[in-house]
Amino acid sequence: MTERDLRQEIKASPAQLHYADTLFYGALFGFVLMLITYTLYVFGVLTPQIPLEELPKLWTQSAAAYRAAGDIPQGWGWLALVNKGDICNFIGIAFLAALTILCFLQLAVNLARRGQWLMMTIALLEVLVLCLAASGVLVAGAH
Amino acid sequence: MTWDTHAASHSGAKILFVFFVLLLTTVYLSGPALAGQTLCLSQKEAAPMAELHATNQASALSVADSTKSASSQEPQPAQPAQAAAPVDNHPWWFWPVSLLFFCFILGIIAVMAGVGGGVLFVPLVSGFFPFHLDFVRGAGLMVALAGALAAGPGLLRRNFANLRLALPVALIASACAIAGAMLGLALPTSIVQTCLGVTILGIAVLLLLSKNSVRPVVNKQDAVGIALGMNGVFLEPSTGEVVEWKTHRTLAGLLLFIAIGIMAGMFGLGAGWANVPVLNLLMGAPLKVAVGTSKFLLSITDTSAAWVYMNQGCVIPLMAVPSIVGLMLGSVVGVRLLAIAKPKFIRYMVIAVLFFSGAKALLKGLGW
Repeated sequence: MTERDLRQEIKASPAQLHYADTLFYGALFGFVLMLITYTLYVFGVLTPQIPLEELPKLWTQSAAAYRAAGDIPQGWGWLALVNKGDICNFIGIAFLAALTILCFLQLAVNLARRGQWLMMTIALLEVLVLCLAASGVLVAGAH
Repeated sequence: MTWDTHAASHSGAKILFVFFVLLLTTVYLSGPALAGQTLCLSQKEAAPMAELHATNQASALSVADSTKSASSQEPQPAQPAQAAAPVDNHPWWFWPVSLLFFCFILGIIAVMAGVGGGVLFVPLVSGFFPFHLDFVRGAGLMVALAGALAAGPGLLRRNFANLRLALPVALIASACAIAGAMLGLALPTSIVQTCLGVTILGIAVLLLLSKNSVRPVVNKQDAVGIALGMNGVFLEPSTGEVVEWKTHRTLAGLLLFIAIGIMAGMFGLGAGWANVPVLNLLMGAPLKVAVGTSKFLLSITDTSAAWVYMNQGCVIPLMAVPSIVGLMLGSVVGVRLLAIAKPKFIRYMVIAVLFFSGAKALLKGLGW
């Protein structure tokens, strides 16, 4: 590798830099969103699905018991209750969890433009895996 | 007058650790289980839970009175273990505020010890706080994910996290993390708790014995590494030196990420403790690239597991958000303290805490 090649290699690739930028601004937006919704929740601006004072009785139980007692829906069912103080926190949390999917979609496009087909395929497969996880179709047995 | 910075940093680390232990003790003694208030609920007494459900369906949720009546009844002997529920008389804000402070200290210590937050969060919070393991794992994944999302951009821009190294590894680990999360939620809590204890003890041994190599010698890159383009160059800022690297034993490394992904999903631990040794010692990536890529990897691996936990209702915002905020603020302070502190002492103390919390999780899982 010549010195010029090395200098080029030291720098992160444009695809990597794009990924970093999307991650940075997305994470910032997600954190701010999360803090806003949390503030609305704990200061009682929005009525929660489960009253705050009931939570200490429920968080010692399993997730299945918590869901049943509080009528907390599985998967994306929370969207129907997004006007509730506790449930609206999932907007920011879900955005943070979805951010990697957005970044990988952008990465796949960038890699395709540069003809890096193997890496692009891996990036697309990653999108599929993350979408499968996010879809809510994978339901574990309750214990 | 001279100021001995070495001695000052050493004593500062000790003070921090003593403060941390005191905080843990306070939280533990505040716990409902030790206050002699543990209550076994019979089927009849479990009615308030059903009532909560029924009332909630009518759009207003109120079970305070029925719960009071439950707690006023005599405890029933020989009830099933699953029906046992501790009564917590603290106000609702007590545990979130405790978590915020606890995670703030945890964030400082984690950065100084060079471990991720998740690996300390899950065993300690499940051992010393009243939350069920399902919610602790859900919050642990969110904590690890938030830390990775915050650190990712900087690592990618400086080329310390390498996409070519991360992508194939992330695909395997994230797919297996889903399987691990589903397994962890399907298995009985006692089994998961026992396995968690064994894993934490194993991590403590790994941290104690592993000697990472700053620049492993890789004479020849293997075929898989070449095919996946797992090589690169980075600038060592401290010396201005340009470091070229490539991987070997790539297939073995990729296979190990199956186990890492499963454990990350099953226990909600994050997986930096396992990523770094595999990338560095086995595959031959330089330590800085291994650490940077590992942290970036968590943003992908933990995302897949976090979705499974979130979809199952295992993330309670009231406890997850203070944990995330506390740990992130602590990490910021920890990075600043890192310049003056003595991380080696903290590292050994963290290993001791891991041994203790691992043993506690193991005993709890075994019902002792």
